[in-house]
Amino acid sequence: MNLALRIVIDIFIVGGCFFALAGAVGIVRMPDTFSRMQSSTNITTLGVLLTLIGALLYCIFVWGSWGSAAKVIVIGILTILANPVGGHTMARAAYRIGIRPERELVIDDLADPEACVEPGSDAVAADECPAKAEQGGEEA
Amino acid sequence: MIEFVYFAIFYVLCCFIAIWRLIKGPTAPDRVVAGDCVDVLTDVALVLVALYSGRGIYLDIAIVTAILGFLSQVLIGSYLEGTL
Repeated sequence: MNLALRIVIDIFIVGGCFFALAGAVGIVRMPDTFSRMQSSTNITTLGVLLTLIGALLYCIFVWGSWGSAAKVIVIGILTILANPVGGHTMARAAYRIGIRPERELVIDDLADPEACVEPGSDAVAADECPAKAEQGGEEA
Repeated sequence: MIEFVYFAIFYVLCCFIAIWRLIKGPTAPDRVVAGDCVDVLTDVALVLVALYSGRGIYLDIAIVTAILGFLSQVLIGSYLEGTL
């Protein structure tokens, strides 16, 4: 096996391990829920993708298997596309069930009562939204 | 190469750090995010085990795990939000 190729693959995988460890420590050490979500994206972007690039180089140049390389690329694309969607869903759900960051928010678009109305839901679901209830309480 | 299994063990140890937050986490989104991190780290560990053992079947398992982790995160998020 070529020594330069091995060094490049190991650099990629060690970089991925560093970012994965940083994200995992951040999940434990961060103070509130949204900070922990931000730290978990550290794992799902660089911590995964650098290691997958190393695995891709190994599949192509050492195994010579383009099928395995395609599988690794599919895993990378799934991770890139899926985790922003899942993170957005979890952050919005955390806001809706009443979790707030420790520090005061500078811009709070979800506190707007218009933002609580889902495109497919009726007005009853909008009345049960906690942000709208808080807004109405302040006006009364 | 033999060193891939050590990197896989390192990722599994990172999984245990995230599992600590999964057990302790005060709110439900904390637990879901920590569980998703365990899922993603398991994906990478499976890819590294595939490189170590020379068997491509672990790559297929990693693809299925990635899809299921994404679906579970979106479903639990919609359930918590009340729009499921």
